[in-house]
Amino acid sequence: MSETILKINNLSVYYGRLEAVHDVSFDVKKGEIFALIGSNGAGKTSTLSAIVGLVPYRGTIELFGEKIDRLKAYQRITRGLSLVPESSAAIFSRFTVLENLLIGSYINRDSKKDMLERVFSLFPILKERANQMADKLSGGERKMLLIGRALMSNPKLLLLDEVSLGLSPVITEKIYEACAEINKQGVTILLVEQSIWKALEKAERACIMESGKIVKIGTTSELRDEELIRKAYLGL
Amino acid sequence: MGYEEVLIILLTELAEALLYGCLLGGAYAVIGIGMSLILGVMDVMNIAHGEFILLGSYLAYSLLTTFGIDPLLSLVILAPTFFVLGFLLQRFGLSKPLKYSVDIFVMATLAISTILENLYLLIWSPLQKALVTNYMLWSLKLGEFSVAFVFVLDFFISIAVLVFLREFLRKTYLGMAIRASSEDWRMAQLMGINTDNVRALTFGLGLLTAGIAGVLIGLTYPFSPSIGKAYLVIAFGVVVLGGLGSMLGTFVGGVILGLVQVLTAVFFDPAWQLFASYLVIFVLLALRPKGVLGR
Repeated sequence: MSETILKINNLSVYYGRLEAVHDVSFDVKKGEIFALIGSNGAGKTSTLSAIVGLVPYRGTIELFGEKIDRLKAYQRITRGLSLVPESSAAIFSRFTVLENLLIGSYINRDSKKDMLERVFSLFPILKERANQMADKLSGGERKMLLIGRALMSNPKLLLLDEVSLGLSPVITEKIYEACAEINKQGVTILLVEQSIWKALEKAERACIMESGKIVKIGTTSELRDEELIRKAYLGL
Repeated sequence: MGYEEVLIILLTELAEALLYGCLLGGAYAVIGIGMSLILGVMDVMNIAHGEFILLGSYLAYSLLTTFGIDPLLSLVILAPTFFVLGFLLQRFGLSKPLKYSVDIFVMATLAISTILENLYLLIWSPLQKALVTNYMLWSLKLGEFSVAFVFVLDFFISIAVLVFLREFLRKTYLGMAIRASSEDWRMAQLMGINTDNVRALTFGLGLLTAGIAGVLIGLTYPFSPSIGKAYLVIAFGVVVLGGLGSMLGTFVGGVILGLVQVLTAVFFDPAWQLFASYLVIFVLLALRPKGVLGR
């Protein structure tokens, strides 16, 4: 049995009186790709935001066996977490591509050269564009930059929030190939995805969220065979 | 007097005014740097900026009159002292007001400004003071003109401070952390940056430059407890003219303000200096709200 590296217990997230996530529990095991699947407003991004400490929540979150609920966002990053946000606007637009990557290594300065090489081998286009301003990049290149920047801190758990959103199928496939490579290099991935097809194809285990609650959790092969899932989500 | 002679006199006056305007602009730029930094990174205005500049002048005055330390040498003591003062003030005194609301932060700095002004009255009296040194009367020959040494000093120290800050912000991790936090503090936190410390560091740097400005301006003009507000107005003018977040913009803003004031004084009337300055500020903001080089 693989080691659990992230354990979410009875997580609830509120925005004022609005409950975005209700009593969610799941765990992510070392080395796997785990997917959070659901439509818009299902509570996926709020769950990720709670994990990295950007929104207040109830419940507990354990990372590598340590409760991190009292830690601020920047302290959680030092524990081996890294988030790739959904929006391409999350790049630092007044930075060059190289500066964006370097600021990603803020907590991992000693190995910045190795990490840069790793990022450039995954996304060679970023090396070509290294001295360009980041706001001149295309949508796909920005996503690559966001993933590269998140990798620069040498995370053990990478949280990917809808990396395929707004991208062409070709670019999406390239990005997912890079994610598979990152996973092969030993980085555990928690993936948030609207497309159930894509998520079931890429992940090993997944949970399906609706209106802030988990409706189903299991291995992706189990979920593919579920009658409810086949009818409601896959149209089979 | 012939037409050509009048033209030569006018051109000489213009050239001299342009030279002095640029040099004065250097001094104005150093007054504005700290405000530009704090406003650009923290999105708040430090109303006590002028009083902190004045604190630099008064402390240099006390070091000079009590221990005989030359004002330029006193920068070695004052610059780090101001940095630590700014860091601690933001970290432990102003971080809660800032988290609560921008308005409360501004009111807190207004309170600091009033406290400092009254403190200056009590300690140093309402009488004008000046940093009297040998070199304050020196003049330098620049081509056809001779200019006061302290103006040249202001200009070059101002450039040195701006270049240092620009390189610090571009080349160091702490500088990049300041820039990242000014663009998106939530994303900056996700890079592992402690944004509370970054704000304190920024405030510390803002005060460090205020301290340097205080010494330079104290060497150039006499000062009294109520003059801090005038410095605040100059800093505000420099920042809005040059545009936020650009060291070069701050310098350009200072030079524009310096030129407008000197040209107005030479060719119209010194009484119109402030009117002309703020007319230019208003017109420029109406046409280009982000300033000359603002982002």
